[in-house]
Order: sequence, then C-alpha cells, then structure tokens
Amino acid sequence: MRPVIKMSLKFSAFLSLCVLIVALSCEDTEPEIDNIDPFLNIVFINGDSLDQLNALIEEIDLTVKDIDDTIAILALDSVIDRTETIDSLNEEKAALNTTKSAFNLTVTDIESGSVRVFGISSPAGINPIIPSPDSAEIFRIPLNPAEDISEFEISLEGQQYDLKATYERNTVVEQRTVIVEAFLTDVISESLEITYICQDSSTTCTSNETTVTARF
Amino acid sequence: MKPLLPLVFSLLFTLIFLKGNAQEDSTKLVIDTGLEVYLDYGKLITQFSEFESKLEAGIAIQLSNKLAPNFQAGYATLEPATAFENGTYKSTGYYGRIGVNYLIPFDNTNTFFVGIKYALAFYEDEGMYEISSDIFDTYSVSFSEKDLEANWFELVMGSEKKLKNEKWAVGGQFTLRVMNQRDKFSPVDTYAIPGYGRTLDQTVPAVNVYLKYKF
Repeated sequence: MRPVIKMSLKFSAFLSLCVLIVALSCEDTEPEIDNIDPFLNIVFINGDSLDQLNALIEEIDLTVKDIDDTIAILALDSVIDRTETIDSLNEEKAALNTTKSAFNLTVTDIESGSVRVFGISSPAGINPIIPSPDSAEIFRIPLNPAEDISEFEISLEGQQYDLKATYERNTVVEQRTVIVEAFLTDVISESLEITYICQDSSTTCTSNETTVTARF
Repeated sequence: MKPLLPLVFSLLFTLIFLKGNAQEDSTKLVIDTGLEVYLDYGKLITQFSEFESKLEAGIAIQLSNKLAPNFQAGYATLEPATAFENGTYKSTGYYGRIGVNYLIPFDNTNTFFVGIKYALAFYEDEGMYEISSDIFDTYSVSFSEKDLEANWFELVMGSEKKLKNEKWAVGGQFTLRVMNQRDKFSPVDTYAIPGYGRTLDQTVPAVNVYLKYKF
C-alpha cells in the first residue's frame, strides 16, 4: 500500500475519533427537576391550644414560686420542726415541674406544626390532597400554575379554614424543563392568622422558598 | 464549545502535514474540473426516523486552481425528543449554503479538502408544554413562531474518494457551524434550526456523508 494511502486511512481514523470525542463531550448529564409547578410551604399551629397551655404553665410557675416562698419561711422556724411539711411541699413542687415539662413538650410540638391536616382542596381544583397525619410538619401546597390566584379550603382537626394566595407567575426553562415560578404578593385568610417572611428580597418573594405560618 | 478549537487546529495541522507528504509523491495529479452534483445520503436515512426528516443536495464547480465554489439546499423537519422534558417541539424549514472548498489532492483517487460557507435558513417552529399539578388541572401551553430566519458560518474539512466509475465519488466532511444571527424568544426559545441543528451552543459540530456525480 502506498504511503499516501496509508496516511489517508490514518487521517480518516483520526477524523472519526475526533467526531466520537465531540459526540461524547456533548452528552447530557443534567439532573432532573422535581417540581415544575409552584408551591407554598405552610406550617399549621393550633393557637387556641397554645394559649391554654401557656396559661397553665404560667399558673404552675406562680404556684411553684409560692411553694418556694413558703419553704423559705418554714425553714426559718427554729421553734417547731417543719421538716415533714417542707418535704411534702418539695414533693408537690416536683410534681408540678413534671407537669410543666410535659406541657412544654406539647407546646414545642404545636409550635413546630405537628397537627393533623385532613385535607386541602381548592374550588378551582380537580383533586383534594389528603396529607398523611405523619407527614412533614411543613406542608407543601401546590399553587395554580394557570392563574395568579389560588384559593384553598383546609380541614384541620375537624374544622374548615380558608386560605388565599396571590402571586405573579414567571415561566422559565431550566435543564430542558419548562417550569412555572410564583412570586407571592399576598397570603390571606379569614379564619387563620397568617404570618410569613420572604427569604429573599421583598420584591421577589419566591413561593417555593417561603414558609407561611397559619395559626388556627 | 471551547474543546472544538483545539480540534480544528489539530485537523488543520494534520492536513498541512499530509499535504507536505503528498507533495513528495512523484505521481502527476490531475484535477477533474467541471460541474458536480451531490446528494447527502446520510440525511436520506432520517426519512425512516420519527424524530426528524431531512433532505439535502448540492452542486459545485471544480476549477483548475483547486477551488470549488459550491451551493447546497435542503429541507428539514426536526422533532427532537430531547427538546423539553415536559413538552414537544417541532421545527420545519428550508436552508441553503454557499461557499468554496479548497482541494488538497493526495492522488488521483483520494482528495482532502477544506472550505468555508455561509448558510441561511427560513423556518418556523411550534410546540407545547404541560405543567402538571396535584390539585389543579394540568396547565397546557402551545406556542408557534412563523417567518423565522437564521444565518451562520461553517468551517469544513473532509475527504473524498472516487469509485471505480470515476464519474462517481463518495465523501464525508466534518463541519463546525458558528451561529451569526437568529431570532430569539422568551421564555421558550428556538431549540433547533433546519440546516444548523440544536441552538444550545453558539457553535455546533456536524458530520455529513455524500454521493457525488461529476459531469
């Protein structure tokens, strides 16, 4: 075989190799996007129970303080031996503190949003969501990707509550996936006490990154 | 696509090296001048694909000074499944390329060439995407754009071999396409352009294979 033919064959092989390298370098390794529709993160707090528990804890604190004062006075008595009475008061104080600890744990649970949500639906929706009672304390509620407003009816521990979110939508393409983002303009309710703080600037309150606290 | 630049330089270097070796050969090289027509048979295979349908043919005039002005025209329907994870896309249109190749003959059967081209496409695209929801109806949006235009430049290098009947030849070429101007849209931009390919990068590589007849 003439050298030039050999050379041309080598060149053809080289060209093929280059094309293969280019093809492999173009291969996509992008991860998939989980959420293409906007959503709202929401924590439900039983405000009535919380108020009642805090009042009971306050009452226990006052009683314990009274017991401490009584024990201090009795301890100063040098005429009569008050040891039995003081021991009895200390036992009562220990019992009250145990009760207070249990109440504090319940308060922590309520404040973290551990409540039973039986269902979330929307007048404009087609399917109600039934979150699991053991699901995460932060509930993820889908917003309507076709409208700038989403209204919900929420069943919480046997009662019905309303919730309305208004937002501005933005469609973007990320990693070959078309997604709809929502920037919250307001979250309101007639039956729930709503608070939320935007994680980013107030002009772009991205719904997916905002957690709403709803007290009922 | 930065890795392409070293590739282009490597190919150019190889061509220059090979040309230097070829000139040492004592065989008298004959340039077959005249009109040539060719068909991209690689694109014919796409007629059996459900994702794309392409057709491309061209003419060239081989001059004695090793230059070969050429022109190609083509039609393509592109429906890349990779366009959107949650949607579909289709781009349809005509395109043309005009340019010149410079021949680097090694012998009277095998020829290498390099060239540059300017390309123009007239096309339209359409598609749809869906945003599904756990509570609400699926949000479906359709889009379409008409009377679109794009133009780009191409750097070409390839090889060609005459068949037993010397009026016929087969060849292949590696092309680096560099986008110059195209219509852009937001939020869903043009994904593929007939004759150019995917618009993800400002430059895209391509490979063509063709069958040529010399008059």
